[in-house]
Amino acid sequence: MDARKNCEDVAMQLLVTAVSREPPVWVKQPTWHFVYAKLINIGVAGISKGANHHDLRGKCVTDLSRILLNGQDADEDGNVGGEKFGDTPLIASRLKPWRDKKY
Amino acid sequence: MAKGVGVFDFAWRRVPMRWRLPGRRTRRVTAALLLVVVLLNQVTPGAWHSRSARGSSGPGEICAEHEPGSRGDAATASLRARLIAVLEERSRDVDGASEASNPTAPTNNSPQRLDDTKFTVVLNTFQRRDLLKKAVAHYARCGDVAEIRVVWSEQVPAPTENDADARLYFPNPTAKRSDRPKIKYDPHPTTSIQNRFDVKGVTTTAVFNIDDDVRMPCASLAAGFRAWRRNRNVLVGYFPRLHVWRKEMCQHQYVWDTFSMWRHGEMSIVLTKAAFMKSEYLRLYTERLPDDARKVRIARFPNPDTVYSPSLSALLVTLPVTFTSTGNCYKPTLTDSRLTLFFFTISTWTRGRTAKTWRCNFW
Repeated sequence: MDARKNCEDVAMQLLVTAVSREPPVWVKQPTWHFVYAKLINIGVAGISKGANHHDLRGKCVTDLSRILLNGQDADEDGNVGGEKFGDTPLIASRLKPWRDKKY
Repeated sequence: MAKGVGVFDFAWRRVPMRWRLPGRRTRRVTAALLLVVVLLNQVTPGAWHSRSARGSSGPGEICAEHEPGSRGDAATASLRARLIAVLEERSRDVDGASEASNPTAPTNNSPQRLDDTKFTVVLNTFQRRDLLKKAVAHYARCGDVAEIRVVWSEQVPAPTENDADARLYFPNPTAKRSDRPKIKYDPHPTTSIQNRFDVKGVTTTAVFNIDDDVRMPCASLAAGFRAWRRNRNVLVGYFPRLHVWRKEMCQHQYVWDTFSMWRHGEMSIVLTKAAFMKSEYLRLYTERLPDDARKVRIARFPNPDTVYSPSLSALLVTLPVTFTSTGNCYKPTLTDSRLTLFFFTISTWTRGRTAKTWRCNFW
């Protein structure tokens, strides 16, 4: 990660999902703020502005999952985790913002 | 707009009468729209397509390393056990330490006696002073903030309260408030991006990770904190992202832009650009993440030259059924109308997913 100056948040998400075994929760920000933030951030330099930034992020998910799962237990079929491509602790859920329930 | 008339009625009445009748032009427009939808499917394959792509790859395919049914479940379980052991070990240490220093203190169930009513803002910044000043001033104004910890990775002395320009780095917008957050700059010897999780001595159960270029409104911050209090074990944040397994490239694809996220209709990652989490997890990161993960480099992949190519079969129409993943099972459900509009791709769920689906006992 130091080499890429990137992906520390993906690593954090992997760890947290590995511990909780639940998908993360999305809190929606107000639309006006979303648009406003987009507008005022135009031209701001940052690590996420590179051309291949998002390719690298995909590689990060793949690599970090393998590194984390490497050396862990094998399942009943003898498949050692992390040796197969595509294994990951991440869990997907529906893209729905969190809502406070009113009881 | 007339009162009591909906937006769609209103718009429909604006359409000229001869366009409403199913004439040649209507057919032409419909065909054009269909073409656009199909082309969009080719550019950013949606949830339906990715479901099949996330599935198995049979023998002879590019990414043959991956087999169906072995998605690292056992490895994930053992990883989880180890991580939880790290957490518990540490909290026991803290218990022991506090008992040693004050043996008469009653043993509390919550091991660290952290403040549960507020949260700590961990602000990550690097050489963007103008944004830093704005961000500090903004978060000092918000409620529920116990403390602002600025991760100071610049290799120059951190600002102190005695500086000439201390007013900018230690703003005092609500001097009358007794619960005004303290602002603290933690200098780090390196410029590593991972310093942001290397924060010691947090006094609250919740931590809000934030980059200097995001100034979330205080009301959203409060809403996020409420949401976190209902979901204490997970990351609660404002920027969702998704990973999708692309067997053609033998790696995960990172879905980030709003349109693709909406098309996939799923999320699996929340950016720590702006996210609440347990303060314990900070320690988990600094202590538990393997060293090789810290300096991960771009690995070589079996066939790096293969790129995703849309197939002709993607043009066929299929059932409006989607798979909701709960853990590692895939539950088939009828999709909402938003998704049915885009079902012009064929999936291979009969080939790869059914075994997995029927094995899980949802029924």
